[in-house]
Amino acid sequence: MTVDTWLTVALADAERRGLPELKPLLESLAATMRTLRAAGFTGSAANADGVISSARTESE
Amino acid sequence: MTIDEFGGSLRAHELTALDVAEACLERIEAENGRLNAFILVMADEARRQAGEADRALAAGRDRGPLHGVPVSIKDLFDVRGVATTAASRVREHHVAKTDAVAIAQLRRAGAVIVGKTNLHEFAFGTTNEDSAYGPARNPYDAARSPGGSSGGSAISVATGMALATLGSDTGGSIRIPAAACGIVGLKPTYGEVSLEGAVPLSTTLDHAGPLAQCVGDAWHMLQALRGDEQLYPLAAAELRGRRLAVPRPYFCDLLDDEVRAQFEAALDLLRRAGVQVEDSTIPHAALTSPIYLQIVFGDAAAYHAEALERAPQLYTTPVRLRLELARYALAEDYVRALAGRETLTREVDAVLADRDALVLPTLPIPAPPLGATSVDVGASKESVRNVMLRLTQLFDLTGHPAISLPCGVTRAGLPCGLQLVGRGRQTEALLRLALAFEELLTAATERGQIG
Repeated sequence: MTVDTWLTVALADAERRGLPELKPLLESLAATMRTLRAAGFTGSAANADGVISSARTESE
Repeated sequence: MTIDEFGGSLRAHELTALDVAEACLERIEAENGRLNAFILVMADEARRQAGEADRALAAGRDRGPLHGVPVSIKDLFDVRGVATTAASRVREHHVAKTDAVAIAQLRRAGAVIVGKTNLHEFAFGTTNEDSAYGPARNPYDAARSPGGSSGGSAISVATGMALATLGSDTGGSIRIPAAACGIVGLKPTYGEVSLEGAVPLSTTLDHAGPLAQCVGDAWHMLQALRGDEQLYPLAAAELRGRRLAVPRPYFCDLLDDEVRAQFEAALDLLRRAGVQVEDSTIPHAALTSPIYLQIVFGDAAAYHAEALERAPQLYTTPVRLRLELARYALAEDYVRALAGRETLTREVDAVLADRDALVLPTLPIPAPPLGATSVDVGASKESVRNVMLRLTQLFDLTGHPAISLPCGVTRAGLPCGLQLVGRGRQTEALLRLALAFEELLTAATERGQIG
């Protein structure tokens, strides 16, 4: 699930459950998810070799 | 009075265990209304245990350094016959049938339990203000947080309500309140002290360990908690020739000016003592918080989901919201975080491969005011929660042993803390170094070189 899709679904669910106070917390969590995913700590089938490689540094 | 001072006087028949237990109970009676350190005071039980300790010693049965020592227990650990509330109404009707393993070890070592201490509800916070039993307060300024989540435990030792205490640390919950209250806090190596019989926050990251008045006391507590058979006093390491690494990027980017000044003064002391202090880098340190969050959220959500469905109103609102947030975390991000944790562990190991320890501040700010959600750090405004966890949570991820030592006070009289992080599974070596550094810091404080 992409982070954008996750956020849309989570915000709607929180609203449905009567927890609108979660909105800023969910948006903040989405930001950390993007950061974590961008680091590339795990292998990805989308990579040419599809194997786990060393994590990229932030500057890359 | 330290544990060794107590033991010396006890065995010289200058006082009894009951005398000291009574003194702690009197201090609790006098100060607990103001500081709210205890959820449960076990006065009758403490007197009974202390009397037994005195009779055992008179009969020649000496259990070692913790014999007759009054200790407090974070109310996250089962003590048989009383509730383990975790500072939450969710657990108000709970009664522990047996002792947690760590409690059984303390009893075996002769410790006297004076009561159970306040904490941030379910240990899910750093300020100790979200508790079903009301906020705990900093003994140096009651309008400020004592740090958390083991805030009541830290207060109890800082004010003489107990000589030592048992806490837990998932993102810094032993070291943060130790720094905020001016005492020593030890997070041992991951798994070194049993958590069986403790309410979890994150079984992947939780650590149990002591808060104490000094490094030597923390060592006595650690030996008891591990169930060591051979008990011996800690010997200080030789400081000259040691190599310490200061991980400046990330860890020293965001520090209160007075905390920074005390930290740099401490580094100068080390250099003058012949220690090689070298700057270093942990390449992915800035990713600590995103990695940490996913793991804690996944673990906490699994534990709390059912209670959140059944009785969400029993949680304090801030903790309930954070737990509800945790339930939205995704499995794929948990796996990414576990992989990130491995990377961070390798990076810390690499820095420590040819150094004795990392040295860094414990808490980037002095104890924040109760009720504050943000705090100014230099030119920036930061979330209190994020900034309080910033320097400690990495080592819960990596499992390295870490200790916070008192390191001066601000102009307003608020304590600062300094953190030493040792090599994996080498807690005793870390404590030997910490003991030597403590002696240096104490002498410097007496000379006025540290505030």
